[in-house]
Amino acid sequence: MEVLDAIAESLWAFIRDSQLSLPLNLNSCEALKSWHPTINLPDTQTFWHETSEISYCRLRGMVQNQSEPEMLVGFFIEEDKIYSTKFGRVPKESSSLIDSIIIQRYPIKVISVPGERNCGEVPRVFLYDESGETIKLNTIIDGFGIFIEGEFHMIKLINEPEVIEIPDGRSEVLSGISQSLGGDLLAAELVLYNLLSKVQERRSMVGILPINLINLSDPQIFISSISSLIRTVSLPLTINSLSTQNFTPTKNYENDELEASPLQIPDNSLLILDETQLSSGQLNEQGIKNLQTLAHLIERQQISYDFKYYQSEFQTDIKIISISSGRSLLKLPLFIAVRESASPAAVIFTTTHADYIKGCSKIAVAMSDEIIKTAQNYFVNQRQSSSISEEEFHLLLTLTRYIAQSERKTSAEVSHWEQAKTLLCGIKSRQTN
Amino acid sequence: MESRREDGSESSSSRIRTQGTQGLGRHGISNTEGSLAPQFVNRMEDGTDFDPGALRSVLWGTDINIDEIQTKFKDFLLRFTDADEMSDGETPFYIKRLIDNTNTAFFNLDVDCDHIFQFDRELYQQLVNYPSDIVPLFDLSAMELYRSLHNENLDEDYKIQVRTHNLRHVTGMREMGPDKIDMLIAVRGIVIRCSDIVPDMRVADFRCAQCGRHEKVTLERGKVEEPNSCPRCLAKYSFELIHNLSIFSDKQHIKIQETPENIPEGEVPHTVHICCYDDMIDIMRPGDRIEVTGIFRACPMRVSRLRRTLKSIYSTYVDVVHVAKMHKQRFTHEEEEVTEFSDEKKQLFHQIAERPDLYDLLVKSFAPSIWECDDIKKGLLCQLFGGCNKNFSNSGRGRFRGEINILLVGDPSTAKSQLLQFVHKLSNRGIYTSGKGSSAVGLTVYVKRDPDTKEILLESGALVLSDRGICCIDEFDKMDDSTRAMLHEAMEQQTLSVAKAGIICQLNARTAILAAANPKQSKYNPKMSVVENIELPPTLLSRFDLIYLVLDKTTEAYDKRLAGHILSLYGDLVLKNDPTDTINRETLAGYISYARKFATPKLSPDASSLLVNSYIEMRRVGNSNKTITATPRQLESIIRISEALAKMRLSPAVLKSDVEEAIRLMKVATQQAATDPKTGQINYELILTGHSAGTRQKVQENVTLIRQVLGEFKETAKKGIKIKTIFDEFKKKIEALGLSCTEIEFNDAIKNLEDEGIITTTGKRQPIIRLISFQ
Repeated sequence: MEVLDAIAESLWAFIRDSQLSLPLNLNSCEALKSWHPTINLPDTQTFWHETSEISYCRLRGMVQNQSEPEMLVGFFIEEDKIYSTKFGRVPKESSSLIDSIIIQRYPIKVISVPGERNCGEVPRVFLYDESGETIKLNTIIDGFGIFIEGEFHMIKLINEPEVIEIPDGRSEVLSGISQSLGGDLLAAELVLYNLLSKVQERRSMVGILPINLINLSDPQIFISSISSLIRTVSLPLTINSLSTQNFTPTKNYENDELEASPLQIPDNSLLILDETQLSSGQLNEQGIKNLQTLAHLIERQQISYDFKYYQSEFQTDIKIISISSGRSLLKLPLFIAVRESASPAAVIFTTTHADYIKGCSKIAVAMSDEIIKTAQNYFVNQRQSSSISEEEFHLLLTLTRYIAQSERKTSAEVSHWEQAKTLLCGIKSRQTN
Repeated sequence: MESRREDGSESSSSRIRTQGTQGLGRHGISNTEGSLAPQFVNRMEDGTDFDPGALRSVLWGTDINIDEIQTKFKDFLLRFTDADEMSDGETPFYIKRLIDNTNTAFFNLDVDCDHIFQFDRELYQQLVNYPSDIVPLFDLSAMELYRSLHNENLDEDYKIQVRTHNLRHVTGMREMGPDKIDMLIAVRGIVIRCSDIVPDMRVADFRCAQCGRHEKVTLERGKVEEPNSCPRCLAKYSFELIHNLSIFSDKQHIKIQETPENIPEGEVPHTVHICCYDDMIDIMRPGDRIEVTGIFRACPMRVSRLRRTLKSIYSTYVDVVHVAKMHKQRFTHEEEEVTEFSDEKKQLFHQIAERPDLYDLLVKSFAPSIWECDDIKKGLLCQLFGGCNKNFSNSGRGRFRGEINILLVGDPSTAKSQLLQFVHKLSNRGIYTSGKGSSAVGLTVYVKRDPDTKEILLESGALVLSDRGICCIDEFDKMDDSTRAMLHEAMEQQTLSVAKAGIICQLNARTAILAAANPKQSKYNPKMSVVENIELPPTLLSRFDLIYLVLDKTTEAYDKRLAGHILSLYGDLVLKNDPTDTINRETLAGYISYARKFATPKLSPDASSLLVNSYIEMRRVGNSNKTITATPRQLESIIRISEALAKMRLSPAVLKSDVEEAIRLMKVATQQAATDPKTGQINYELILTGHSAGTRQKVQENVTLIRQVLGEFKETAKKGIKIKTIFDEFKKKIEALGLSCTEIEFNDAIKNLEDEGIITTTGKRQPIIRLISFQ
């Protein structure tokens, strides 16, 4: 109860400071409405599921669904003292409600962040300030609040810390990835650039770099290694899983739930589509629909949510790697057969490595004048002999950008462009063999 | 949430009324003057308990005078005349409605709030702020007026309900916060669920447990007040409700959901609970788009036995006063659909229309992510604006279509599908379908048996659904022949005839068709004609007004520009296209629907004479070398395109410049497709018949040769001979002459012979030819 008392104290202090008195008038009502508690309790590392009593604790999860805002009487009087219904205090039978102040709160459904430690069924979460109006689906929500009787009342949201100084982790990360791939540096390089990729421009889908890795002798080693580098969701695709699951998040109007889809993933995560267990067989209608959903996600970084009376496109920004024994069923344009020179070894990446990826992926890159000229001439020349397609030119420029980014540079130079050409050449030579 | 007012404890006077006070600004919360007349509204309903003249009665918590409201509203009904509808001296607008009500025995009076606003702004504001009190007052005034009009004693039950609609502001679902509680709001959405009809108490019958006296209490828009004390035996709280003597009316719970265009990026749509009463029930079905005018209510939830929650959480809903169905907010098509354009919008559209760079502006704003192809975009814009429909039924030719059909043919990955998608997104009635997945039934109509009633139902397919819209068909070439055959009728007559399962009917399919096709050999072969490149029957091709070849050009200058364009997308510091230079998609859609609705350009004399001259000129070019360079269909197409161009400017007249541009568009599009690759000349016959005169001559030569071959094999040929044998012999002959012939050309010749009745062919894989006679 300590925390509820602290909230009440904060309210009384607010009333004192703003010199409000009972009975309330229009102005004092308005003033009370805007109150938000300031609590002098230390930020706690105790998570809601680790505590049983009513206490100040932390909650981290992903917004899986949003419900209509609720309206409730904001304040009540009990034994001549004013309390707020905000943050979970419930009036008693004897309390008198101040029903001239109606406040809004925003119930959201939160689940464990996909790709992070699972902490079970997350309670109903209420947001009390403007964040409730603007919060988007599938974003990560992290903050402190009160856990009471299966409800979590959020008081303070915290933002994910930014990487201020990007550590130099290129060579270590590259060698780590290549170890998990049995020593294939070329493939490792491609994986690195995939991890840095983001949607840079949505209209033309500039920036995305989905890749298909073929022939991994032990995909699990790769998946578990990469999980320590970036938030990773692995989605095994089998005839059965494709035919029985529904990848399209679908609104169920019977219980007002949004039926969860494994593709509800927060931005900046890595999605691994594991096709290695996919055997031959007949896909049913649902399976085909799911493949289309995946193809749409890969191509446009969008998932169409089914609200029955209409479809609504939700934009995503996730990195996608598909792993398969032969060419991926999803026909990703960029594929590479992994060549192992040793047996793959599990790698545990450090937080420094993770910070390197996190930091690098946010660098803004400019194209130098020189590179623009070089690339333009290259394209025109190659086109004369019809040996380059528009797609390939896009790919080269995307690679150039991420090569520069991986070196923590803010400007792409001709050297990066040359590296990209060499890299693509290496990939292409493997594709034909 | 089913716990509405059953709790019974809600009464407006027990709460401090904050809502609505902002609107008037005069009535503070501590205002007590109104307490002199508590709860008069419900009492007044039967007109007995309360004498309005005896006391100055005001709405509780405000200084709004009841008499004044009633007088004002009566005055409004008596005096309001709609400028558009009525001339002076005639019966005022609403009086006419009231009189009509008697004739139709329809007792609702729809009142347009915009009319109230025009008449008396203060009254409008009062209505919006205190609808729970004022709407019943309106009912009462309307009733009194009605009685005085009819001068007769009416039934007790007879009651007029005033239904206010068309508020000046439509409240977004996300704006429906605490400050809107108890106010009159208008909200739009899609119906997602309709409950069964539930009986809702209208007149409650109470019996005093002490003395047995019955009291009838009328329920007013959802509220019933239990009498506190018995007037006969003066016992307190002695009344009990007698269900079977109470009168019930119908009530329906409806849920509506935010329309897709109003949902903020990345958020889940909101829903709102609606309560409908009486004759407003059962007029909506899931999927309908509606605009509801009603009172936003919040009432405490029922106390749960399991929790100590003491009604601190409210459930919210809208009590319906008026409901109207509406249509999607993309661009709409003329006639049946009503879209409101606000004055600001109209002004904006006219500003756009007056811009000297209008044409370029529209092109730039159309699918801005697709690079170049400006002429194609111009054509597609013409399609969106459409020509004018002309009706010559009186002179016996029926209706001329105004819809412009467009075909895009070209190499893979040349953004054809993206262009289709963009058009589809702009057009509200449009259907997007892929030729591969479409069947004839899917495009037209299919017969279905209703699972509940076992009745046979016709379900509309893509073409019928896009009536008055644009039907986008991707992969047009992959469509099977029977499906394509359905399009013939749809594309010229704009109807679909159906004869299925005993149902014979003709449906409207006034749709413009936008199709995209890939060449047969995956890449366009410039050495062959369009007809040869895409496997489409010429009869169908000629129904397209514009046929664009979207080719992957490989010239150095083009490549350089392309490279520059692609490079401009990379690098975060490179300037992107200036966004102020284009208009956004919503505005564009609005502009198009506005133009479609209000612009009906007519040909100016200048333009007509230019049309005539150009057409004659086009025909003459053909006459000189015995080819067809223009047909009446092309003339019609040019007219349609010129009209569309005039519509773009919201201009009442088609000018000479429009005709010039239309002819230019025709030239770059269709004439490119109609150029004979062998001669480089424009030849419409190519599109009309699939062959140029030259080709036909060649077929004739082949026929002669085959005849010779057949002559040599006369005896065997009469019994039947393998086509392969004939072909081999024929090839030898033709090669001896130093010519060449493809199998297709050979088959054309065989077909020709078959048509002449000289031979018959049987079998598909290895056809056998049988010679009938040489005549």
